[in-house]
Amino acid sequence: MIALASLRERRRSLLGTLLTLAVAVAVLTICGLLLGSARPVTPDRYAASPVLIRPVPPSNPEAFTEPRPWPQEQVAALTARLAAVPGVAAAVPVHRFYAQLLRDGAPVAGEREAYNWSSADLGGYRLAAGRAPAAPGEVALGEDLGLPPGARVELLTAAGPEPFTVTGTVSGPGIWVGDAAAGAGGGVPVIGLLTGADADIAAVAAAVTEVIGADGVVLTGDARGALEPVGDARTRWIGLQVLSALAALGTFVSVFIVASTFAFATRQRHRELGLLRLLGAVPRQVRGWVLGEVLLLGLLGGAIGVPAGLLAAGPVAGWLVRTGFEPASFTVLYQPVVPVAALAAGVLVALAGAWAAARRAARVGPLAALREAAVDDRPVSRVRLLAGAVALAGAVAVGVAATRASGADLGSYALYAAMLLVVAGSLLAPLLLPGAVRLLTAPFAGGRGATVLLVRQHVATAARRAASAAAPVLLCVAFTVFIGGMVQTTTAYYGLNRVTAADATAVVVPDGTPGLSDAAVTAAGGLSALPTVLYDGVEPLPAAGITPAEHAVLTVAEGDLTELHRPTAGLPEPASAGEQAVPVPPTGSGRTSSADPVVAVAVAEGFATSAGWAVGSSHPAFSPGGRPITLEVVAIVVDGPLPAGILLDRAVVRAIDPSALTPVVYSERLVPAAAGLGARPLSAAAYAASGQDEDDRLVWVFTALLIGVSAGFALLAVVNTMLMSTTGRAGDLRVLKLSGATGAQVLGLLAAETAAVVVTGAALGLAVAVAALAALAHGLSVQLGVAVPVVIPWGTLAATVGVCLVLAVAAAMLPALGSGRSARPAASV
Amino acid sequence: MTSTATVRLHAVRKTYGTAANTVTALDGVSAEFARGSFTAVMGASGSGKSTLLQCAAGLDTVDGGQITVDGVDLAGLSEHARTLLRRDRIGFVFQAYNLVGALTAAQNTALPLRLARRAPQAAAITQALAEVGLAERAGHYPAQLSGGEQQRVAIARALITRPAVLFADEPTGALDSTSSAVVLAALRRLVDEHGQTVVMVTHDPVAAAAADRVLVLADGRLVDEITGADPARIAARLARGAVAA
Repeated sequence: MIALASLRERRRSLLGTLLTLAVAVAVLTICGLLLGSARPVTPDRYAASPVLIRPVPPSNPEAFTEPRPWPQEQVAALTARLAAVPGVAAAVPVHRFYAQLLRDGAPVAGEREAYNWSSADLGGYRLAAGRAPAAPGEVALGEDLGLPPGARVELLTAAGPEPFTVTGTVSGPGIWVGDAAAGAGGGVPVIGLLTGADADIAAVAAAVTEVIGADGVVLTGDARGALEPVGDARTRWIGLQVLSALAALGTFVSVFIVASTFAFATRQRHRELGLLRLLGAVPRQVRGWVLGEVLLLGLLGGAIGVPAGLLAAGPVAGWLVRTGFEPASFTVLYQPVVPVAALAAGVLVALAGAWAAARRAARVGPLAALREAAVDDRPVSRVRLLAGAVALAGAVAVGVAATRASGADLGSYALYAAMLLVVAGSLLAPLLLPGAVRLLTAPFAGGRGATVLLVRQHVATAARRAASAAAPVLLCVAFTVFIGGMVQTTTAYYGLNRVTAADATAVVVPDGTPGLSDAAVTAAGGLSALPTVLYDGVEPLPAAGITPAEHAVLTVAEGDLTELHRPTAGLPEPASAGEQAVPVPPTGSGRTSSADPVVAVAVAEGFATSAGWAVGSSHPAFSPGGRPITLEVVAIVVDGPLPAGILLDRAVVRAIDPSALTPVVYSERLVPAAAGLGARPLSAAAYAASGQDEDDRLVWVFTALLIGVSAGFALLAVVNTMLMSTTGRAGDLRVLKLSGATGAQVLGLLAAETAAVVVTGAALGLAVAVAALAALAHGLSVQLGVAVPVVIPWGTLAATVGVCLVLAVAAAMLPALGSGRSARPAASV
Repeated sequence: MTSTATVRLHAVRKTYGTAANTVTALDGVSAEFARGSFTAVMGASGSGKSTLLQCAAGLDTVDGGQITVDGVDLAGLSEHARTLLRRDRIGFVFQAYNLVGALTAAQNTALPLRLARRAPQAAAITQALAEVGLAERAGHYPAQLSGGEQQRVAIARALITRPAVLFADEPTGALDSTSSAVVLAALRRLVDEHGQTVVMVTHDPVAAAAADRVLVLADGRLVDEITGADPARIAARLARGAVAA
């Protein structure tokens, strides 16, 4: 009853906390639903095949590379064995290569790969009109494209535009060519099984697993989602990062805000709690009320937040797909466990936040009812001091760990360090605030007015109250500046490196295509690299092909770079999709290194050191098509902005990877765009400055999202704390008025005091952000061996502090303006 | 110890402050408060009268001497045990009415019972409010009551557990004379009709005159005891004591 009555009485001051909890639960519901929904979806083109087999994937799924495919000569034997399994009607190998339909000289969005016609059965697709493609130069297209049999079309392949004749239209979306044409050069990424209608899938899968052994992985049911395009997996992974970060930040910020709000509320209720103790409440009961109140608040917040989250999940999912954080196949799965978990999390967040306040409330003695509590007796308790010191030490430890962490971990560590610093800063704020405010107001201290004196005295005598008010500002400024600065610090570095390598004045970038075809590269006539993936066992080895022209931008540390372009025996000739593949002697899965083609490679110093490769050494590997090759190191080049750690001759890459595309061409002059090649020229400046880069755009949206969520929560808390603060000080303000202060003077004093607290909180927040950014920058420079300057986003800082100031001052003055009309005696106690 | 006194103080000492700067609030005070008696404690500001009340009620610890309330020695009781003693055996009324703003008069009155996890009986609450003349205001919130009415709700609340002793610290301090008279009459009636033991700290001779006996404190010592006096005589004795001290 007491908890309920108290909630009712203080509903206005608790509105902010309730709103915070509701928003937190909504965010958790949305993130939980979307995280639970973010699972691979079986591509439609394999929907009719109940059992799919793919090669063994790399051990690190976050490499986002295709597993090493089976070479064609191995596939024939595999499919024969698979087809013999009882219940299997057919074993269909999948061949594919890069191809995009050109319409009026522009690449058509959507399908970006052509498949062998026989694999259309795996999707259950049938001819709608015409006949199947068979001969080179024949193609069948999805009927949605509206191109009838007999039409002449152009397909953009890795080589360039090629003419095709439409022989038929198909009931599903896609581009299909004859099996022989599709099989040219590349390996087989998937073998699909077709079974009779009454086949026992589990039994077939078990038998197939037996047959395939260590050569592949058998997928059935939902597990077939593993065959989603690599790009989708990567997009989903980015989405996962975004959602986890949002959920973590939302949880942290709400715990923080509940903690500071309840600490504040407990201090304001000191007398009331003392009275209850006087009337016979034991400490356990007091603790119970505070926690009971918070429990009710958490449940109420959940009751608002869960439906809001459920309603918002759909639109948010749509937005994530549009933004590029989730693949197009993404749909929301409404799992009942998520709202329940979010509700529980909301209650836990509330309880965790109020735990310290409840403990403190329980320690209030009965005599507190008989005292005025304007002066905090002990500004900083020992426990608080200890907790602050622990958080500070933790932040330092995490910061040091950050400087040793690599890649994505670095950012996470820096964020954890910032979080711990925020906690430490708020815990130790009562120690720092009075001094900081004195320092800040020192220039005005000589005046005769009462305002500066009162501001200084109020902050000094009520350090904890001032600290509670400053805490959300600290959080807001720390996170916005840190997140903004983190992105600018990292992208400033990476952006710097992007163009300077080739010292180019212009670039040609893909336009509506995943990369540039050879024809587009030739037309652009500059420097470029052709990236591909070799395999060490099943693990991917990023590599790139270059021509002698690119030697100009490389520095040789050891060996002879020209050796890279010596003739290589035993490789297939570069074959366009329209031609028959050159037969290659079957080698099976075993290694026959003497017969393997020997490919000359140059490696980056860093890679050579970590992998233990030296000039003259040979290393067994696999080509992108899955064939065994031997890499012979002919040169080591100095680290720098290299396209990949392993460099090959460009012609070799083209021969072993018929679908390889060039990401960008650097040239010395701006060349006009060649029509029909899916390419676009840009000046170097425009390229460096543009957010054209897909990753950059995602990072910025991500940043805005994180800043929005943390700043939104924090501003809510700023307003809430200030409203509570002034409401709780009505008595104080009345005394001031009785002492002869005019209404304007009282408001001016409130504004000055609030501004002093906000500015001090912001300064502490800035210090937190700068410390975390310094750790990040140091980590980056250790990692990259280059001095990375800390970038502080001054604009973001100014905007954040400005918004905090305006909201805090307005919120502080609002109850004071209304207090003249208020007749609540509670405020006079 | 065989005594009929509800509250006994024996050589009670209480000091505040640091070793270097000690303030002696109570300097060997001994007093007895018999069952069904109404005692006023008077004295100038800083004489130690509030400290006496807080120590006698177990709100504060003493540095020497012995205090027993309803036969229980306060020394050696844990904070938890003292809380239970306060809840069950002691009632309080203060200058600030100290009502919980969120609760109605009846709910405020029932609060000590709820704190003790005893089911409040509607009849008992109505009776307690009736004893202070507020039966018809049971559903009102403190904000809707006058100062005198709020103080009488505080008295009803103090009585709901049928405490052995009721401590009142300046119960009329914030009230006008009419309201004061009503509150004092309510206290007097409790003593006369229900045999309630009341100890009241006050600086107002008019309030003190409602009591059977007046104890006068100065500098932490008991300096005078007046019985059955009217306000004028009390004021005169106080003035004389102040001159003497």
